[in-house]
Amino acid sequence: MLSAIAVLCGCGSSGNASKTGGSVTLTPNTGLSMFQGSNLTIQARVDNASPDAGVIWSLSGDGALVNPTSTSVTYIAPNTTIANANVVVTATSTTTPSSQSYIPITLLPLGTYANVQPISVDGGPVSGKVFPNTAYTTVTVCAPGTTTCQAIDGIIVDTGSSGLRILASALPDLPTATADGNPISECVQLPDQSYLWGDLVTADIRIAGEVSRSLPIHALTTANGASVPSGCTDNGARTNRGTQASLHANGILGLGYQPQDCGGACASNGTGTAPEAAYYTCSGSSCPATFVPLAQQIKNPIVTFLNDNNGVVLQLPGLPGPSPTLDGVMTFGIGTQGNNQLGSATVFTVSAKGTFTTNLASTGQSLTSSVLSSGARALFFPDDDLPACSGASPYFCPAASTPISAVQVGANAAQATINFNVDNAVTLFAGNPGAAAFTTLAGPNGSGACATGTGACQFIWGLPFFYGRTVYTAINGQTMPMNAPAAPWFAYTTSFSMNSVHAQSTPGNQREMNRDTK
Amino acid sequence: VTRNSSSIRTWERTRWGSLLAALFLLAAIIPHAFGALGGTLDSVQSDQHRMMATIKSADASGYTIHEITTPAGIVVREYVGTSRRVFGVAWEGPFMPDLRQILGPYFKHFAAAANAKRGSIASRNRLVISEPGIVLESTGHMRAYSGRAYDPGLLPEGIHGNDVR
Repeated sequence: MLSAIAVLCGCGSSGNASKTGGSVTLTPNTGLSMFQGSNLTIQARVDNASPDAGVIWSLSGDGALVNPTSTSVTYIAPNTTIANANVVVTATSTTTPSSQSYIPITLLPLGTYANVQPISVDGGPVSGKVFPNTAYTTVTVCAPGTTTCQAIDGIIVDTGSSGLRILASALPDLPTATADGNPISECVQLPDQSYLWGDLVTADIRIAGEVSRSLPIHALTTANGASVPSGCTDNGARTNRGTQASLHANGILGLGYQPQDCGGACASNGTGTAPEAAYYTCSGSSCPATFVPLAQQIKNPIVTFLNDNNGVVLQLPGLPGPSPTLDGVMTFGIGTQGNNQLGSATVFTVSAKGTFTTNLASTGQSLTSSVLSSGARALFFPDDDLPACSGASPYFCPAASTPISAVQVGANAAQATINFNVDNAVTLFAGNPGAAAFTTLAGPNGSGACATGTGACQFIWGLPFFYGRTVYTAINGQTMPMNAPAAPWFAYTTSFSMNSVHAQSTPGNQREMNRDTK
Repeated sequence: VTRNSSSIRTWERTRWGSLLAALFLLAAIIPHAFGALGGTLDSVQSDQHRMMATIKSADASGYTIHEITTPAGIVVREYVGTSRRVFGVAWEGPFMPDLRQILGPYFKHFAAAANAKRGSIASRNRLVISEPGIVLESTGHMRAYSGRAYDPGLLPEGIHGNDVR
């Protein structure tokens, strides 16, 4: 097992192992999907090898390699029913067996979309518990360069963060990710005085027909046996969110505005002192904070996809009242396929921090730090006229259903008025045991008149906002469709035909969704 | 005892060097003795020292804002009233500040309240605590955290908690 992991490490960190015998580069040079019966010609180049080297091709999974040469091969996907969708084609240097590169391929049945993945507001994976207003999905995690894969469900779909984080207990054996040869661990502090902690590991990720090769992901909660740094836990004052019971999930799929989770502040800051509560290099019991280059940081998986790599579109139907489950889809890419066009959606550009303005008519507040996040369970905003529920509940408990009117304003001055109702959360939960989707769930976020909207004075547009809308989230730095502004931005329409995994759905099967957040 | 802000500034200018020297000595001897919130003006310099940060100050009506920027890019604003006590702190930045440091004696109360809140099904990405003795709001995610805390009992006359931001 140890030697197997060592081999995986050799090709894991970048997909292009760089040994003295030369580095292998493939074209195409990323994971991808193919329909059954189709074929793909792959080119290989070996750089800096002495003497000049070619490659030997190998296949793991269904299908066949034909016409192999030292620089190219053609992979033919099986023409029959696909039993196992996971395939890997590997090219190994003829002179240096440790120098390899590979392409993970997902096989798709004819008539399916590669970029459509089901999501469901179904209460989550914790037996006997129903967690409200959380969209879950399934991701397939493979050891890098192998067809040893595992589907993991109960993963939160979160447009409010970037990067994939999964409970280590749910993961297969994966190689630890490294920077400059050192294993990397990470701490993420959450504002509720909890934290996420664990190693970065490398995996091939498959979601629908999208494939991410050698993606660094956050394995919660392991770190080579090292204890959690005090800078992460505030000297023990924070609690660990990295358990299923605390996370209410097996993981979080962060599909937000940014290509990495931390970005430049974790790569350098001009002082030589790496920030606490971010990346660490653990050795024995010692875990000093460390800088990590952007390329090795936790990535938004979307930016690693072959085509649909500039954003995501969430669709969840509107609903008349509380519901036990609510099924929808997420579609990867914006304007990259026929099923993810921007169309008439209104685009709201946001700040580098992902914020925009929400004007609340009822209180006269201008909340300039507002955010949109599918990972939040309700609409959270400051409103002293709406009573909070008693005890530790994070929600409002008005005596009667209360209408609220809010105006979203993008940095580009785009505007839209959103009308919704706030119901008594205690009554909602008591009257609808087992329900997971609530459109009228809201809670306080700060109090009083937020003169400037800084600090915690913000409107958090959580998952209820997504019900009955097609919501686009565009990723900073990625190529946008023509006529769309540079990201980051979000956009939405208030009626839609929900995408299907199946390409041949007829208009009669598509449900027209009307704007309704009541 | 009340002083007007101009006399304080004069005093600060004339005594700044010796005050700073004393503070650094104190901070070295008893580094955890000071926390910002509820502390004296001294604790602001203590925070600056321990955060290895730069500081700038600005006067507002009835109070002074000391803005501390850490090497990691976290901006902490400490609000000092004319009684020279820190009545509020606010922060924003790519990481969370060391709340144990900037909440000082209030941290224990805050941590207990946060634990009680987290026992519920609250959202991961926000925290609101409003109790006698401390009001704290915290929100954000990696790259963009923000929040504020104040002691309602320490607010100078005519100053609202929302001025802490």
